[in-house]
Amino acid sequence: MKDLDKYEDSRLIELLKEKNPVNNKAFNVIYNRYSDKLHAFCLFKSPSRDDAAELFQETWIKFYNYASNGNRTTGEISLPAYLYQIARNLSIDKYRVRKNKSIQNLDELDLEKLIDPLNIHENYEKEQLLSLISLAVNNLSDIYKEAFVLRWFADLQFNEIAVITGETAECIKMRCYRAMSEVIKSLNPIIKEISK
Amino acid sequence: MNNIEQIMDFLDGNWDPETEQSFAARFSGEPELRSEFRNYIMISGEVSKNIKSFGPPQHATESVFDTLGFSLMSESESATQMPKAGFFRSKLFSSLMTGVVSAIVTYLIMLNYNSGKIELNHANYVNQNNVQNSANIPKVSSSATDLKNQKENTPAERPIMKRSRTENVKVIILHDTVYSDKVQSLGIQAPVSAEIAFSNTPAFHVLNMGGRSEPSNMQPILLSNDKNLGITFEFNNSTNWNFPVETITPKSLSKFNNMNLAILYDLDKYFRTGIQIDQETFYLIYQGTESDDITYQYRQQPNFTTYSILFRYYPVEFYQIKPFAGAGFGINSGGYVSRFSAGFEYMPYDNFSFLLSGEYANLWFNHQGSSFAASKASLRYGLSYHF
Repeated sequence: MKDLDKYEDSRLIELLKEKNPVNNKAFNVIYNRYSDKLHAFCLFKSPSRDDAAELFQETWIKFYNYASNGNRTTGEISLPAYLYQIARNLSIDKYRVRKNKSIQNLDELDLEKLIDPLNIHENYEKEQLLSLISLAVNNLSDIYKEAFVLRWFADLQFNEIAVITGETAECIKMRCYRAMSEVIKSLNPIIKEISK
Repeated sequence: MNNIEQIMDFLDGNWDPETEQSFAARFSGEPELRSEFRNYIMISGEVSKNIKSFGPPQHATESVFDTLGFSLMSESESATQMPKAGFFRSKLFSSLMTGVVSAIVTYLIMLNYNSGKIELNHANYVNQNNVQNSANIPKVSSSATDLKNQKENTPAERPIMKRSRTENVKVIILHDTVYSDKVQSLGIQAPVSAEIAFSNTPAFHVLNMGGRSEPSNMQPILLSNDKNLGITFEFNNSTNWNFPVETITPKSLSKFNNMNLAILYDLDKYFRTGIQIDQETFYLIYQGTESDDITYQYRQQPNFTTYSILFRYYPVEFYQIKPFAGAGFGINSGGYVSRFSAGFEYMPYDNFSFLLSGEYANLWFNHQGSSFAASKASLRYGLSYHF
């Protein structure tokens, strides 16, 4: 398995068609490579942690079933982008009717405190920054949240995000700019406090 | 184009060198740009650095692998995987070996125990003869018949084990004290025989003070100090050097790694044989071809439990020191092991020894039909107790 770590994604996908233990090892490598980022994406796409775990599982199972049957999987996009595309489509099917935002899947932080400049004097610890970023991202509208998560959490390029979302790369680029600007604007007082 | 947009384009490397230079030149004069640049780096860096904190919960991972019928492997698992060895790595093999070792130990103990019983019964027989010859046979109803029968038999025909009240009489004699409960009630005093005085040991006395009326041949083994069982228990720890020097370390080690336990039996004054169980590692290097037709070189240091048969030769003994040389052959879940050792025992007490020895061990194993070997040298130090 150590040696398979060096394989590119396309080679690993080919090995998924092989019998055990080769496909088992290949799947382990792919899983270790992308599970953290995919789960982060699922967290932002789901109303709760349990729902996120369910979406995460279904994404992997669907991915493997496609890949092991020899179906063309990634096409013009990368393997991680393909995984996010599966997760996104599944989440659309599952939560089509859900429009309201939910922050219960993230750490229990008070949004009022976050946007109230008076509370910056509460001296947030630096380790809380990630939770605050998550909270700020989750507070974005869906299209900007998705763009932010795929760009900075999933580390995808604009054109890959464009394929996943069915938008143009320029449109995604603009969404990412705005999303990041909003997040920085929300966290600016806290970041200043941390920087001191 | 706002500042954030420019920062992202700059960091993505989308600009030509001239545009980058002009952007960099703005840093010194625009505090707001510097501040937004720092914020951008802090946020994107924080997300990128801590992405693992968004990792899936364990139950989700297990559920994925269970559903797909896969086994979850850690990234370093191959460092502790053992080569395929079929039956030898099975739990059945381990259980069988435990059973075999237990059976051999039990056999050795019982062998010695039985030989001790024969000698003691012979002593009883001598005593009975004396009693009979003196014509002072106690007239106890249950034993009188037995003694009568014994009189008619030749000594060789008599059963070795004989539980009778006559034997109770002998027990009384062993303490050089004439008890009255079984003998004097008949008005007869049994003679004290000097021939069985050797059995009058303190341990035996203690045993009978408990009120047990066991025959004299039930002398317990571990309380005996007049009979050497010829069995030695050994416990060793060791420091090891692999050949070649290992470049990986096991993911986990057994709690009893580098320790061994041995049970040896004295064949005679110079030779001992026995069984040894080692918890150890060997550094394995071997090649194999996977299903993807790629040949891999594996480097592993698995944990093994090795069961060995040992032979030791003790040529001399001087000043409480017994040098020895030994050889052994063993098996474990990886393959076959040969061992050669030399060292000495220091015996400050009669039964208790300190051991120091050097050992060279070789493991032969197969992978995909090819044979490989691993070797190591050990410095062993331990304790032994001789029963």
